[in-house]
Amino acid sequence: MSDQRFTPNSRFARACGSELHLSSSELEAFVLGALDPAGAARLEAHVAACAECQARLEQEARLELAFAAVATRTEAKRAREEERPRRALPAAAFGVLAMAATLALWVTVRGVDDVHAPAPTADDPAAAAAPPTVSADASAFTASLDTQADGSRLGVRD
Amino acid sequence: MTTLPLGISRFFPGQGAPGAAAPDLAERALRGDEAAWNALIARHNHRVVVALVARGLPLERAKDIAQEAWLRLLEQQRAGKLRELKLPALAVTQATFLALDAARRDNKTLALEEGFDAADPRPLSEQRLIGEQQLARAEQVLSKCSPSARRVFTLVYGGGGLSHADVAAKVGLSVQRVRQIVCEVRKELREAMEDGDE
Repeated sequence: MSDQRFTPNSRFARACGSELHLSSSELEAFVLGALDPAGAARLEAHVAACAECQARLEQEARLELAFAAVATRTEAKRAREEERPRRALPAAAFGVLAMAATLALWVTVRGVDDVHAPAPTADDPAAAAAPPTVSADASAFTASLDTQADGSRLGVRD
Repeated sequence: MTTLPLGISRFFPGQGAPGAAAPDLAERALRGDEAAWNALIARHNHRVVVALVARGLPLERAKDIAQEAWLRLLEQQRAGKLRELKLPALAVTQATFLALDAARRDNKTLALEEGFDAADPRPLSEQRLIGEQQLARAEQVLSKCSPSARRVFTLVYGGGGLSHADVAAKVGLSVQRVRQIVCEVRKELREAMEDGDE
């Protein structure tokens, strides 16, 4: 991809038959679409007859494709970076909501246990003597938390 | 080679004032508005030609094939086969197909031919012609440019198909200043890409 045979603005440095070779800046201006109509016509006429300048024009045009690829990748990267905080915010909000829902469920289950769990009585000494247990079941877990070793109830909400 | 009925012979992007927004033009063109087609061709034809030259076509041949590609797109629109009009990408793809067809008929090889894959979602420019390392180097250099220069560069070369005049209007600079910035960034990227070749 190098263009070492020609330096920028070397328009008058080399000759192509009776004509001068095109300069790098002319080729660049052409691919950028910045040449005036007369300049573009002159360039087109020249490359039609000069294989060397046609090859240089091809290289310059390839650079345009490369720059388009670079710009596309840069845009995509920036879009991804802009998208990241937008994605993170709903995720954080979802996390907070999930925690709040879990807490509310726990409080509710505890409330239900307080109403329905049988209190240990003298008629049921096994229940009264049963040590607190740990279970995966939420109601059992909260019931065991509510029941002290001696069978008395924890008075958290009473 | 057929000549475009629209009288487009040459295009110099960025020399005129910014025209209608590209999405508006594309919608009108899809409805068959000839003025919109003219404006789109004027806006994008040069890029199609340059893309073909990059694939090894002589300039004159590239201009002919670009015209043919526009005619095909017009025909497709008139036949109701065009549902969307993403330019210049669609015109470049169409022109590349035509160029490959012509090259095969003539038993010639285009620079892109070995690696061309229509199903590949990557831009044509990335499929074969440019090395990954070169792109990465250029990307790194671009990331170190000033934000305003980077913005101008990505607008000019990005997928929006904006002319220099469009970009100038968008960023509030003169067309001349936009070109100056493009040339400066271009020079730095070029050097970065060539450094690795040596």
